[in-house]
Amino acid sequence: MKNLKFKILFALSLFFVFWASSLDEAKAQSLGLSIYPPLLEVMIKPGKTITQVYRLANQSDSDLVITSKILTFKPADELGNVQLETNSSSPSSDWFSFQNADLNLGDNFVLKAGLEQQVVLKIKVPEATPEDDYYLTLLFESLPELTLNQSSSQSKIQIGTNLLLTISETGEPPRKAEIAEFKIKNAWFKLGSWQFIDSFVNPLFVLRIKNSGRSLFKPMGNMTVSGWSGQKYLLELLPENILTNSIRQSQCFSTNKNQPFPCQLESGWKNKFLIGSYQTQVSFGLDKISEDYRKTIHFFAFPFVLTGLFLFTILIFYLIKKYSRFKNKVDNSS
Amino acid sequence: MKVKHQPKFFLSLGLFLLLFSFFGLAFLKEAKAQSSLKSTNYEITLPNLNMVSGNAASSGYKMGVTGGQTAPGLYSSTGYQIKAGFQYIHSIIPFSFQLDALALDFGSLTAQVLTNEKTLTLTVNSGSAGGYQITAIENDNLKSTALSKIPDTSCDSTDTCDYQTNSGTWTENTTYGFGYNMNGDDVPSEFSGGKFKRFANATNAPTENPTKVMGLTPLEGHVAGRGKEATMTTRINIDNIQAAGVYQNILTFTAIPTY
Repeated sequence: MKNLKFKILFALSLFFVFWASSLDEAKAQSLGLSIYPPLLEVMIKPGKTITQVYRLANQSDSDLVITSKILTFKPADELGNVQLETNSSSPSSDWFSFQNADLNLGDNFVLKAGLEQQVVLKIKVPEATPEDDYYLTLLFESLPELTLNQSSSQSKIQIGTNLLLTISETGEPPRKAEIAEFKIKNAWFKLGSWQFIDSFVNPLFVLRIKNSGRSLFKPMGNMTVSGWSGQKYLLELLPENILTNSIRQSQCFSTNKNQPFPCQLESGWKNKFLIGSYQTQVSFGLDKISEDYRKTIHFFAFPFVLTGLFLFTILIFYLIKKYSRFKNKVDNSS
Repeated sequence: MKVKHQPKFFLSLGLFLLLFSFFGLAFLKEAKAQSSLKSTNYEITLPNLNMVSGNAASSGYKMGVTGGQTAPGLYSSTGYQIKAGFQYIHSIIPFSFQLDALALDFGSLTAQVLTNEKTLTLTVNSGSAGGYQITAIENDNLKSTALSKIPDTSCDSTDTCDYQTNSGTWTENTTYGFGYNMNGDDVPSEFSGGKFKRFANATNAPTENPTKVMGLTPLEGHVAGRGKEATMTTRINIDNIQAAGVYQNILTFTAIPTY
């Protein structure tokens, strides 16, 4: 009898240990999703239908119950971030559906751990749809499972891909831009139309472009820095989407780094310095390389800091010399 | 004496600046254009975007692809033009987002201590994205089945915080609530120095929207690549009079590339 009790206790202990360890494992499970492509730009005539394949993968350790939705978005800032509009409804949401035989937009579906699901998004734009731009995000989200009997915060993840939709009959929607601002960010001071910069500082150009037209566009062009001795330096603009009724801070791309980067003269200039008067002209076209939009700024580079230090040193030497002569004079007179 | 020194001084200064100018010009002339545009993760094809036009098809799908300047008349015949992905980044790395845990399990909470903490690791692969953002929002306060709540923290009274860009210190064990700090790659600068914020609360929508907890745009220094990692440290501190119970809520993390 005593032996039986011991066996039961032992079995229960083993069961508890296994149960506890499996609970820890469950807690350590990860949650991950991936999507491709991250961006879709479509220009389409009213009445036309297109499809696009998205690859959604479950990178979690366990199967996930996933749902999908289409939300409109607006620019959150001037840098390309988005703000989803969860409470607004757009008629454009009805134009979207999944072409998969076993899956509808908005339905829950199970995506097994480590597997990928191809989702075929169908966009059907009704006839007589007015020419306009529509900015949307296709969002996939995991549904949380609250199972813990402890104080806890359950995680839920969503992954989105943006859709920029332009409805146009002709393929040439009315595009219009304004240069909202073009200046040197790290200038020391400004005098009239001239900006002054220290010779040892690489000028960082700020270009803010406003889309005042009725369709998105990409600025395509460059900035040309010209010196008084005829030398020229080119910074190429990165053609990023600028959405209607919004401003975007443009950036350039570096051939050295193979990366988009803020419009600043290349790092190779760090060991050199500018001196004298310069002008920088930005010119770009909308979705084509041209000089349809142009603006020029002037700046003057001078080694202010170095000259200041030099003058300060001279002044100190002068004062020391003057003081010592004064002291000698006093000593002699006494 | 004064008059005697001035011409020498200005002569030296002039000579010095003249020398600087010559050296500067000599160096400037060395700047060269470069044309290498490839790396392991992506390829920049600008400014010439004349890559491909027409229709691509496979057994699983069909896709109209038109890169760059379209041929005259193409749009009028097909009726559409599609560009998938960023035209200046050709990457096969999908945009992905991962959390290292399904839940932050705080277990039994001890009152008036700053050690009720749990961490969550956020990992992003942004190889195909021009930039990205991860936002977070809670569905509600931590709430028990009896509907008692643990409020969101407002940080120490000497350095308060909110859910937006204002972060604050949380060093006093009499500062109660639920909050978080971020540390690692691409996290907003306001978290530096171990400062905390509270989560945006969905019950206060549309006033409160999801807040960015991780992510950069190229203008902020985003570099496309794999394995960007940040750690979220969440903390709960409760008063002695907090009602007993199991408190729970849901945190929603949203990953979206830039446009």
